[in-house]
Amino acid sequence: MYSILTRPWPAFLLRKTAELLLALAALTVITFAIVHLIPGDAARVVAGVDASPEQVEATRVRLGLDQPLLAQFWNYLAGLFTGDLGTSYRTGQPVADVIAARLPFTASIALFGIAVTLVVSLALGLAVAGLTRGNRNPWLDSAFGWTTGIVLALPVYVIGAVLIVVFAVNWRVLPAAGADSMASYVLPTVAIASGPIASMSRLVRREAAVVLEQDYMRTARGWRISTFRQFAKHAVPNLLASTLTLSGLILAGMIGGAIIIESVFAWPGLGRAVVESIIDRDYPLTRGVVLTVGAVAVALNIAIDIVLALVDPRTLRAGKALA
Amino acid sequence: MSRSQGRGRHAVPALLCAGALALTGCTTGGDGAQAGTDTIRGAWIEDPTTFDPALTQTTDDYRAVRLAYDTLVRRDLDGEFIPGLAESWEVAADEVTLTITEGRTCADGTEITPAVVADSLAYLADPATNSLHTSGVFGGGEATVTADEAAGTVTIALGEPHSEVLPGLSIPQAGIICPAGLDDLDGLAAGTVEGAFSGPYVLTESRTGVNYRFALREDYDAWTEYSEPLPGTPAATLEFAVGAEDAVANQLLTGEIDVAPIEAEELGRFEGDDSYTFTTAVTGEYYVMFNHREGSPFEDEELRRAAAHLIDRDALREIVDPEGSLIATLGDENMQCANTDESLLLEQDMDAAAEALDGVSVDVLGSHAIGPNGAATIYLQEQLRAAGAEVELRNTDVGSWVSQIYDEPDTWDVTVYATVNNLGTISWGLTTVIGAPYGDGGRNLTHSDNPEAAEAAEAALTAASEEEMCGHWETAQRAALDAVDFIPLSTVTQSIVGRDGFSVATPGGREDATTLRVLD
Repeated sequence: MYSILTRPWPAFLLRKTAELLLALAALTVITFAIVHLIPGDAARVVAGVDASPEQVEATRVRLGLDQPLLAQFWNYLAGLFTGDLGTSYRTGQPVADVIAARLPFTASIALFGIAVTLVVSLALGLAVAGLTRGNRNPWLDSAFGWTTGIVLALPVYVIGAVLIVVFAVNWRVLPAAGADSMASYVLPTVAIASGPIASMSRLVRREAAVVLEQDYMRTARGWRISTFRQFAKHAVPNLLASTLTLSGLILAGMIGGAIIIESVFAWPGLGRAVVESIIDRDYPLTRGVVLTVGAVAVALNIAIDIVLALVDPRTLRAGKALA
Repeated sequence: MSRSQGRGRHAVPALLCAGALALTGCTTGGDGAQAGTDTIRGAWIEDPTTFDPALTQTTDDYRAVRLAYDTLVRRDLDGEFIPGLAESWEVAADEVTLTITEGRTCADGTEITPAVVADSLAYLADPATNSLHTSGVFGGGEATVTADEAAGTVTIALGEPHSEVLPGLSIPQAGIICPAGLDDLDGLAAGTVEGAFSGPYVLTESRTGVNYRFALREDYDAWTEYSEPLPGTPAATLEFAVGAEDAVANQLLTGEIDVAPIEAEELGRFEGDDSYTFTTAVTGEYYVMFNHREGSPFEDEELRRAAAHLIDRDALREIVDPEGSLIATLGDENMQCANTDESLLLEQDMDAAAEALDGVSVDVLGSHAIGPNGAATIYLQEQLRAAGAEVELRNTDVGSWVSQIYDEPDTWDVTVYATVNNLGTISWGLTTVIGAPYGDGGRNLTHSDNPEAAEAAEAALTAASEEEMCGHWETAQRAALDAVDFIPLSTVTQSIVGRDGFSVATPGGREDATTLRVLD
């Protein structure tokens, strides 16, 4: 047993599993505690403004909010272990059902976003690195830096609003809101991907500039290997570790940061659900969504670590992935 | 500009349009209804919490059940009561008898007989149902409902005299549920029992967080006969997107939505464009609410009077609802017995206010939802400070604000409040400032001590005739306004914008989606 744990992969996976469990435990406690920090009486909000004191108290008992906090936490934990995230105070629907209905919208926008981010930023970063190699085209280097800097400085809701005004309201070529068709994905995807494209293309450009100056790249150019092959076979693999690490973080951020984009585009995902649930004091739904988003983010980061370890086994021994 | 430059200028949008064409067809546009459309697309704020009329709580619940369930009584365009499922009625102080129109059916074909109506009303009246609307419809005590099939009537025997049964029976929360719904309460709440519906539309699709679709019943012919016929044709399909509150103005401009309520600050985007119509619905009343409890400075009538002198009501109306109208009670002029005598209200007089309020400590509680970012209570704060008062202002979210007003009376002295006037009567708002305190069987949140107003209000709520009721309400309103128990400000309005080719009416000033029409 001891010898298995001293081998790199089992030890690595064990460490990652422990990290996952710890993060989930912390998430569970935090998500339970955090909703109780929201001011206002959930029983009052759920019972309705015009509810009598008796109706408010009956609601409190029905929701279990009359029980001590520890007892409520125990019930919450017991539910989690049986896969029960609870029932929405507001609609009476199982929280798991609400999440199941909403998660695909958030996940799809995040996955589209990360795909666009990877494709565009790799192409853009490599192109700029190639075109500015050896201090050529300094204007391009400068324009790239300024443009990505400005995009990074713009809040995502501003980008979203500008896209809506231009493409939906003025040109009327894309829907302003909703999730009724494939066209509905375009503007939210562009909005959610614009910042990450700016940051990742800067990273790719910087890493690629270093790679392009390496001896093996000079040799490849000396052998008259086509530019596409030079980049595809030699440059891109060397950019993979940092790009993957950043993309994992970006993807987790996109899922967590969907709140704003979903509000701007009336996108029916988890971000909007959590905002509505906080306003409605729908504790089980708030907890369920935050726990789910947190768990997905943790799982994504660990998955990226595993992929990095596969790509670059040195990270196994380093104790953690390159970041 | 050269020709080539002109071409270039249009090239980018053209290319983008071409790219998007495959996805959208480039067909969006706010150019009015497409010829022959039989669908109206609208917007709701959130998912309805239930499709059981008795258990509804939110504005979107009321919107949904109005479509799916008919009521016994309806409001005409001017607010008068007109037949719904009941063709006539006789009202006494403690009993109401309604004659049910023959030939009306549920969505599953079941005839809506007096027994069907009685069962539905009994469900609403049953304390076990735990409806928030029972007392509003039937008053205090437990009502009993009986059907007389031979006479074609339903009789409601009230637990206590109650003069507002007709307004109660006209609200969507009192919609008649057909037997199939009462047999499956879970399905009723989920909206999955088609046979439960007695109204013109049946729910055909519900996608949480996305949209709700209703289809017009083919056999439905029980449309309300308003004093002026509504123009156009009812839509075969109604579709409501949810959660689009921040995007709905954009969607109206792009033609993705046909008719929808929008925020007042978005109205400017449609001004000057004749291809949109504007309809204003009234949903409640804004007023300054004082805490009259011991320990609050506004237990003292003189300090309430001074506070009233601080306020320019028209300026505050502009802050809370620029589309709203000034009111002289907690109701608009369309409501029965509403006071319209402005002379009962105090004029602004800063000097008189400063004399009384200088050095007085005041806790102002507010909500971010009343005026832009809570501007209504910021106005109060500044006026009180200008009069020399020491003011502490807390503006919170709606949930916290309501919780504090109801359950933490020691934490506030004054607020700008808004009713959601479910009944469409002056009593709905006035009983929050007159009469039995909340917690002692009443709705009075201020704990005001004004016996004359309280007794008159109680007499009005148990009056046998409209004339008698209005007499008592006049006394109650005059007594409460004389004592500055509250300061009426303005109506709470909802602006509804429609694209060319669509219309909506507001019977009695209220939003009612059954009046949505496609114009010919």
